[in-house]
Amino acid sequence: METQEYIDGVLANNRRIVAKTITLIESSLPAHQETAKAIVDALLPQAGKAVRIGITGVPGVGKSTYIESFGLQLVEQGHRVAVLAVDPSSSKSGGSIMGDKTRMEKLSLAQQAFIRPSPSGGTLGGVARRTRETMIVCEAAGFDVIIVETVGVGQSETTVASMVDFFLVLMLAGAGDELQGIKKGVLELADAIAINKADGNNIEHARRAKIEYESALSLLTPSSKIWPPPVLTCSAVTMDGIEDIWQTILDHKEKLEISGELMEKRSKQSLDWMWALVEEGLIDRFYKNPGVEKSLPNIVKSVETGKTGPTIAAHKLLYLHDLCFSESDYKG
Amino acid sequence: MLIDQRIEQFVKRAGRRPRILVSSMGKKRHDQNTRLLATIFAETGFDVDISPLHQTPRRTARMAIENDVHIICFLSPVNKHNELVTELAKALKAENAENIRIVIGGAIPRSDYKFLYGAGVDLILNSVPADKGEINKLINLFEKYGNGNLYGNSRIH
Repeated sequence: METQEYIDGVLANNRRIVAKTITLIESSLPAHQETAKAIVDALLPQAGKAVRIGITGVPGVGKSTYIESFGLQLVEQGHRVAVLAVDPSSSKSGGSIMGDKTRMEKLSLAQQAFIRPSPSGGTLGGVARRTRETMIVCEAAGFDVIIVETVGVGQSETTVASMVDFFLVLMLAGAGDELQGIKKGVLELADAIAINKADGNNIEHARRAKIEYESALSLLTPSSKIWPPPVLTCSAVTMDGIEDIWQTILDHKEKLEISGELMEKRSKQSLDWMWALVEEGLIDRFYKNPGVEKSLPNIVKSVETGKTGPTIAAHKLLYLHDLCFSESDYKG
Repeated sequence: MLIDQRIEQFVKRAGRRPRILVSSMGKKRHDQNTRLLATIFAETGFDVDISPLHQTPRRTARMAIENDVHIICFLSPVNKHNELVTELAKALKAENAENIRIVIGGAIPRSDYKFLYGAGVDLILNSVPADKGEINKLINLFEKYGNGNLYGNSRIH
């Protein structure tokens, strides 16, 4: 299929071609990546109009169920919602189980929704880069709300926060150790915290947790000058508070647009994106470098057996990389 | 060749892991065999998508297209396989997605094999959980249709 066919298909919101384009973006083949780059580049002017939301939380907090309720409500209001979920790959077999849609049963049927789970593939940084490009494709296809769901174990949060407008952290009440349960770093990234499962007997716990988080947040320096992150409560089951969170997101967008912070944030994100690509490219070149490739197994072995120290081995590898640097590196 | 190596080779050629949708169609109260199958596929090294329970062929086709899997695999409820396969093949064709292949398992009488192969099934799993022989046959299928070319052997539109 030609690049132009992908571009036209995405712009016409052809579900199958949007899906195929995402596959190209995620592919590890250089030829696919070249095509993907060209497609994303062509689509870039059509993107940027959507509300980009990142959602995270520890496993069991109810992220998928929350997105199901939240997404359905947006669809009912006439929005078009794309959900990009990253699922962890097994480091042993390399395989993965992507079951997000089992918990997003109704949303996955909605005509105005598109849900795409992706395996993390062991490279958390890599997935994040691909998620950025996938976001562009979904926006060009006409989705006006993009939700990025992350694994919620602390590593991918920073990267996801660096590509969305609004970063929502879901928490649980009544778990006892709310404040230790999640790293301080994740709280610092939050544009809002929502205490999920605030229903039934849990409402009182949720209220208490809300006060605790509010006082915890007051100790942190907020990342925005005009937006102190609020703490909300919600229930994906009773739908209580779901609409409030959407209003909070819209409010945040409006305030940051007026103050100019949103523009600032997005241009900083473009820079982050560039640096992420540079870092990834460097690592890629290192492994593809013929000098490194040749000596790597031996050096690895000699570190394993204790013959060479890790510091010296690292120096040696980097030296080999510099030594064998050639024009051909630019092609890979 | 070992299964691991075959998968590594596939990844090198296709740019991603073999991706399979394990779907649950028809009326079942629970579906432990389907989950078991999904776990085995993931342990083998496939990327596995799981559908919600009680899917129709049309919903299954949509999910397979959206997640861009190479293969749909489902365990047929008793006596429903002929109907489900026919519907599923039709739904895929309607979306220009015949390149997504169909694999089924479950209690399927030999006498239906001919019909099923004719209706668009590429492989019938004789044992659940799938054994090594069947995993190898699955990888054959991945190689045939997902080999580097995003569209396999099928036409584009």
